[in-house]
Amino acid sequence: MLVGTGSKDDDLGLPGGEGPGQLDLSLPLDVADSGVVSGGVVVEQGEALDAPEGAHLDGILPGAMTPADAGRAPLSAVLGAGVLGVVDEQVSAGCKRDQPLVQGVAMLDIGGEYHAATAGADPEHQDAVGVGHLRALHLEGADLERMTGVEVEEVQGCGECIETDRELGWSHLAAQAVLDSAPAGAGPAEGDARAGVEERGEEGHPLDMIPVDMGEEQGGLDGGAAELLAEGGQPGPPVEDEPLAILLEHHAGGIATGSGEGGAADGDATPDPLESNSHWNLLVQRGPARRMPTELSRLVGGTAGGSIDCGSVGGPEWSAGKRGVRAGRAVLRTGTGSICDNCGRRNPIHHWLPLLGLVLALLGPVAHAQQPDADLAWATFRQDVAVGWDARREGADRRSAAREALFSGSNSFVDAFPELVGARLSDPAVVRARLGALQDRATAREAERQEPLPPLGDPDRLAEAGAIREAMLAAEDRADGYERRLLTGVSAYLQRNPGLTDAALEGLRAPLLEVLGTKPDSTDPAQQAALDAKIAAADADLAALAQLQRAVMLHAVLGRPLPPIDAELNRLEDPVTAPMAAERLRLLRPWLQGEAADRLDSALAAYSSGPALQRAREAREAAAAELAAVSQEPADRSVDQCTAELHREQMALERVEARLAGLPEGSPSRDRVALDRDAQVDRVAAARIRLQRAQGVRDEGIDQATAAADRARKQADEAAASAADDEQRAQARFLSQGADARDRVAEAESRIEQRRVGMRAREEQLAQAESQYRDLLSEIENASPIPGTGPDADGAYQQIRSYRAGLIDGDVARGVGVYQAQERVAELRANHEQEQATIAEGLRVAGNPTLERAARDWRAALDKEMQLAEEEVALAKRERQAVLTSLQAISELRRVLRGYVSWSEREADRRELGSDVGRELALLGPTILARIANRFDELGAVPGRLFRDATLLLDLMWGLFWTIVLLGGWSWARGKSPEIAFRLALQLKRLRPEMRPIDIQRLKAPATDAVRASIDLALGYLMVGRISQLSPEIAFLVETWLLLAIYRALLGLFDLGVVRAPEFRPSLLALAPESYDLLRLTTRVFLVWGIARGFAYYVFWSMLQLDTITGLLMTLFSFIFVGLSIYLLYHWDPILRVRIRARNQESKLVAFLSREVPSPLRPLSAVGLLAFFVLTLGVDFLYVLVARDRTGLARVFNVMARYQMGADADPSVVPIPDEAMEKLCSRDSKPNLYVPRPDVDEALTEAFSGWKKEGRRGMVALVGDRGEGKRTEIGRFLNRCAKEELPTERFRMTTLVSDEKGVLGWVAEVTGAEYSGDAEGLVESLRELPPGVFVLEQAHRCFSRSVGGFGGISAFLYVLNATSDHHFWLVSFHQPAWHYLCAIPSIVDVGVFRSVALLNPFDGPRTREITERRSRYAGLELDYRGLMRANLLGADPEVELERSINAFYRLLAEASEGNPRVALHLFAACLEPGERAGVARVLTRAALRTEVASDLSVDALFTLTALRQQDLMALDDLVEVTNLPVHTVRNTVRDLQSRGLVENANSQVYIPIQKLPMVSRTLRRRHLLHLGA
Amino acid sequence: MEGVDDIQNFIQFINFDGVPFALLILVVGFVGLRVMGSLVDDMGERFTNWRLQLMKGKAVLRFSAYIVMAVLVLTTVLRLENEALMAISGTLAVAIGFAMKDLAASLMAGLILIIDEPFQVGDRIAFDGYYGEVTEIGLRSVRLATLDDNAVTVPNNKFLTDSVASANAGALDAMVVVPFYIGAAEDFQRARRIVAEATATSRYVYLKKPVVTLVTDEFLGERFVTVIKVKAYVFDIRYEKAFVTDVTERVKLSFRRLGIRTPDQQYRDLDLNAREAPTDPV
Repeated sequence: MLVGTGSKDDDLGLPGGEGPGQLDLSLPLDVADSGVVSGGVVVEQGEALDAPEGAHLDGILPGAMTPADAGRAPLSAVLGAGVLGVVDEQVSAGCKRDQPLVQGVAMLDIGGEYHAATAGADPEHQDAVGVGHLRALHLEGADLERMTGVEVEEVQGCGECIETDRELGWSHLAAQAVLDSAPAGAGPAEGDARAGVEERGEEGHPLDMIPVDMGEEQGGLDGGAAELLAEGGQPGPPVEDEPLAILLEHHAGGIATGSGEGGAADGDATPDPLESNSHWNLLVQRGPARRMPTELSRLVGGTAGGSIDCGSVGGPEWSAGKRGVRAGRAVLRTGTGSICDNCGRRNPIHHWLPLLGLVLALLGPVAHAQQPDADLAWATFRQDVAVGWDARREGADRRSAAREALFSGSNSFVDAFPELVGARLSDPAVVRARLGALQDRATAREAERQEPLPPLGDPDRLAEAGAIREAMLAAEDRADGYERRLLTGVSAYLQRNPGLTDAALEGLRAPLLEVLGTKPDSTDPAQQAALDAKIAAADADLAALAQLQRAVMLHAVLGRPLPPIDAELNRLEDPVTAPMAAERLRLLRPWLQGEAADRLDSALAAYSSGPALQRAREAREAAAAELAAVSQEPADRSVDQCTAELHREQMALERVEARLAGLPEGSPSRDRVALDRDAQVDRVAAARIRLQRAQGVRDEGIDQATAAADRARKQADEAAASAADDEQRAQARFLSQGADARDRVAEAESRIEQRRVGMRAREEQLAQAESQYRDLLSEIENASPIPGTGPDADGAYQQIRSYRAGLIDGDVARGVGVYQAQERVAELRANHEQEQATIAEGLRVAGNPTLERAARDWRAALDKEMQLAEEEVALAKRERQAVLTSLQAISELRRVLRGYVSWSEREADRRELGSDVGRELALLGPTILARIANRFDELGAVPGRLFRDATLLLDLMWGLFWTIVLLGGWSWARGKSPEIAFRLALQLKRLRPEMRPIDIQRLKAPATDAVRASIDLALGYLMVGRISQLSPEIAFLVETWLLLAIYRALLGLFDLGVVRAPEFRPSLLALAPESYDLLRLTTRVFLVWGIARGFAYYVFWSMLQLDTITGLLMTLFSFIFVGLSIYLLYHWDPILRVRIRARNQESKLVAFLSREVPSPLRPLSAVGLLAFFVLTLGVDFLYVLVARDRTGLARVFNVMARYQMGADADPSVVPIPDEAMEKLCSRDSKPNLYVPRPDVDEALTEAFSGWKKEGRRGMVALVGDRGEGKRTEIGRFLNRCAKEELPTERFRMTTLVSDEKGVLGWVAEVTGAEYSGDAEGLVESLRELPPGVFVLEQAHRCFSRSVGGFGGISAFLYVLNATSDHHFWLVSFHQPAWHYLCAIPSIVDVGVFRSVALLNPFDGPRTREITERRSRYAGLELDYRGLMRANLLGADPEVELERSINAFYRLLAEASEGNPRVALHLFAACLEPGERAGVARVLTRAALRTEVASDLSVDALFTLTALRQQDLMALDDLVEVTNLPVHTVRNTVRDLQSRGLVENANSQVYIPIQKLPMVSRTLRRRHLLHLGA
Repeated sequence: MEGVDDIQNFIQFINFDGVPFALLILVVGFVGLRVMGSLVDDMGERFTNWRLQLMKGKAVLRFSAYIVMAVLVLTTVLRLENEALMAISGTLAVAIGFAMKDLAASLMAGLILIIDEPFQVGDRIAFDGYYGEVTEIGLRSVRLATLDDNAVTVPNNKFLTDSVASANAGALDAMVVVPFYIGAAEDFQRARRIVAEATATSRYVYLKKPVVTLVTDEFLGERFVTVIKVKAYVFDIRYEKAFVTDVTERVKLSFRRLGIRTPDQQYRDLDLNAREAPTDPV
């Protein structure tokens, strides 16, 4: 906090009006005592006051002060500075001339001496905004810190000011000039100030701004403050004589009142509007409409007059005349001009001011001020005023002396602060209110100080009067300063210790009385007198405690000697007084420091950990017993008494909870306080029950039963009294027995009602505790992980553990109440039999109507009594169920919370393991029995309920329906499981076409098992929900059965996915027999373990809620898991070692892993082996499952496959014979070599049929890369055309011809048409030819990628399109060239083709098909065994071989990019002669690598791009297309030739077919080939 | 004295045992970053399609590495317990904070640049009168390599307040606009076709995006000219100027070959014709 200091010198004290300019800075008011500030003289709306602090308790900154106000003040310079400097949002405080500017003017006036050398505010403007009350700070910062705990900082330097928004700013320079010129003394300074204002200018902000500030509307006084304030501020009536008016006004909505000038001259008008305008000053006297007139002003009947301006500046003007006169004068002066004197602006309001002023002047009293006689005034002053002032000074001096003596330790608190004796100083609100009152007094004094002295005439008299007044005010300042110091210190302590409230002190009375062994309400006068005496003694004791507390408080705050606390400590030794003494000492604890605090702590600790703990346990039990027995108590207390008791108990509960929350970790008192809290919870519950009973929550049956019992008793008594003979006596006895039964019914009614109330209270208590712990857990779960910032998990855990133990140990959970109630029922049943016999006997003997009626009533009473007894049993069961439910919830919370507690708490759990298990076991039997009994009851009640409760019947029928539906579905699905398995196998075949029918057949059995088990699981769990509603017992059996179904399902999945090696069917794993058996055993063992564990958890926790036992079982299962793992690893070790060793014998890692180890270490060795095994297995699994052609992930696995295959391959290359090689790669297209392309066939057939049958345009583009099979497709197409007996012609463009004439000439040449250089002529000529089929190959050579190189192809397409209805044109294009032409539609429109047949790349299976066909054509038998990899698990060789072949062809398809001819070349490179003639071994060779050409120059890349695009080019064409120099092209081609990337034949450069993929990959990677090539 | 106390307090929080390890971290970190940078650059050259992504990854990785290194070094060298943090939050901390606020602002701005991605490494951006390729987004600054091969360093926080234009915005390709001026009386349709063909046949063009040619008439130097503007994408922003050159070269050669004149040529011819025309004897 920044606290500015003024000068300690009174003469140099900073001026400032005692206005309401308090600023409640960040320091809380009750600590900092609201620094008073002379800042913020003019603030703009919403700037400073919109801050919450700005409208705090004291309603600070209620209005803006005009410069006139400032200038009038003796220290107007300060205010002027504020005015001048704060026209913007940075509101500066003023500074005094020749003084360092006040840095921050929020200061604490705690220093006792209150040197209010403050001045500067006109008393008529006390409520001007920002007229701060600056007091010199006489308390050193250190002292201040000690008292308040607040850091105090003195700021040096000048020029900086704390703004009202608490920002540092610099005072205005113009203001500084004003400061320099302002007079130092008090008195009117209007002229100077005004001049100062007029000279200002650099801010440039007008002063005619509306200085309005809005305070916080909701700022209210605290209750404590309100106690001291007589009335709240209300607008309207004058509050002239109310000393608290200013405070109230300031607080009244926090509305700024401008400069406080909004009242009429006589102060009778309503206050200002919410937003005032400084120009209102022109209309009204700047009088004290709501100010506090001083005694002096009332005496002389004068007040200040306002200057005539817009409120910018002005000074006080003493007038002894009547107010009306002053008003008129003021208005007259106002009316002197419509131009503002000060701001010089024409305000609309000025236009009517003169007229209004004139009217008011005429209406006002003309009798203007006659000057009073000076001697008379002096005499009056001496006799009336000065005497009072002297008296006030003397009184203040006496108070100061007493307080000073108190502070020095030589006086009592009562003498020093008699007005505080009765005040509840432990209430923060009261302290704040007292501080506010002090502030009000200070404000009033400051206003009084600023009041002009009466016109006494003689300057000496004036000086004398001023001295008297100043002495009086200074003395009062000093006296109040002592009190402020005390209160500020107390406030600081209270803020740090919110528990130190008077409520806590008051709460001591009840336990005090209890300790005395008395109850406050007694009917016996003697006992009452004794009790009153004891209560009086107790109250006296409390008073002594309050005195002690106050003394200790003074010690803490003022440094007074510490009063002896030994007496209180000694009380801890007395078991009777110890609890109360402990409470008292805890209240004293926050006020103590040092040795005394240590002594107190140790004493309390000893008390808490010793007998107190035992007493707390006893109290806890007593409270529980009280709660249990509360329903048995007579309901003889009044509602008020019960309400008071409940309130008291609740207060005590809050207190003990606060104490528990405040106890540090590890405190010995925690356990005891926790017990206290639990006991108090019970007491609150008991008090609530008593209140409910007292409030008449009585069942009508009680009254009826009581009335009936009374009537029967009366009748029996009358009969007994009038009995004359034995028979009559027998009748009377009969009636008496009947009356006894009625009495018992009434009693039972009452008892049951009490039990109901107790039941409700119990449920509420349980719910409350559960909710509390749940919230606590939630807080802990959401708490910050930073230590010490969240709730104490250990403490919460202890509470929950204690609470849970209490629940388990309670009679309710064990079912004692139920047992007793049931015993009562049995007893009643036996008694009733006897009474029924008595009734029958009585009727037989007597036989009169009275007895018969009595017998009927008696029987009814017996029935009622039995009914009530059964209801009591039901209530007892309900209560027990509630407790058990709560116990389950608490156990769950405890289980969750266990993850957050420290090791020590877990240790504590372990220490109490035995007792916890004992508790749970003790509870187990009754719980099971109770459940069984409840279940039998429920089942027995079902038939009856079915007739009464339609909902139950509906639910039952609905549940049965769904159960039947699910059972039917389950039966049907199980029957269908073979078919479902078969369909799944078919789906699998779609994904894996290599599967054979025998594979599907072999999959049938395991797939059926897995499907059946899955159906069991899916429908079984659906059934469980329905069945559990009908019968939990059946649901339990179903649950158990489902656990077994889980076992079967998982084992079925295992059987489906894993196969023993001799068997052969599709599976995820094909294992060697020994591996298979062991893996199946492992799976079964762990499945059994997991299911058993789940079953145990389900039974012991979900059903029986045995928390500790479940934990023990889970631990046991963990040990079993470890044991089973060791056992299985022991058996796995040899197998793993062999398998891994077979994997790669040369690997050091494998050798290390598979080395022989001694038998005891085999499990450890197996762990490493298993990790390696699982890793490799995972890779294999992903490889099998995920790797597919043409996916991103497939590339990753292809890389891995290449690596793996490459590792097995023989590096030496032995090619197959040339003849076979040539035949394999030849371009023969015999039908048996053809791999169908249905899509291409379909496209061509559809286009041709359309042209032939419907006359549609016959113009088809056949697009494919080199080697993709364009020629083959064309040949097959022509073969089909031949059957149609149509003339067919097939031609190929062999060279690049791009000009129109060349292309069209070629067309004319191949078609036999005439061409004379005109395209239209060629079209006509073509139309004259008979319809035919023309196949033009390699049309991509009809254009050149150069400027002007597209004329030929454009004309070519034009001619073809124009004649396509007459002829059928099939044109083949190189794929990259086609994509290029597609990309430039504005130059070449290839959209004229009616259809486009695109040759797609081959995938793996098609690549395999073409290569195997070609191999057979070449006379080669393929031997794939060289591809097979050794499987880690000893998989089936055939399966592995098939997988390896698939992987090989996938790699081949990727390496060839799906180009069949390229694939054939690469495939040929992967062959080597086999063991016999005609056999070729397929091996993984480098040809399968997807390499890219590296280190190619940019020119080479461009050259390759051109060649890749147009397939074949001459050097000249290359030069033209690439736009590179000739020599560059030549050099580049030569370089590429040397790399083998291009070849040159007949001056035509092309890329060899084997290199096409590599070139394409290279260009794509460099972003040069981006059109789909 | 207060400052001396602060320094003494600050020194207490230095763990001198950790200094060698911190130095090791710095050395390893910077060497690793250098190796990583050269590796990524090399990969970017080999895999052009992924060059910008690699550069972006490199920038992110380097940024992260800097932060991790800073944290490691600070936690190694300084004893930053709660008490230390409390104590260090004195005048010295404030002074250091003020001294390094620009750096902190740039650091935060760098983080924002990495996350917000107004541009990334490899982009060509125009900022504050500079146009060039972003070569580095560092902790403190962004570095540009202009087309004149000047290295321009711009503090990161500048990019938070000023506008920046990215030519390719993370893509490898970028649009290039090339205007051609011909005489107003020339065959503009033919010229437009030539321009389009020259663009479409350029070895630098990226034809996955369209090539657009626009024809407008403008006054230029008090002459009426026809402007043929072609907008096309270069497949790699690095070839931006080469693309312009290639297209211009092809167009000029074709114009010359086909006799399409520039405005100057056309007006000069017109002037000559006017001069050579016979004067009216009247």
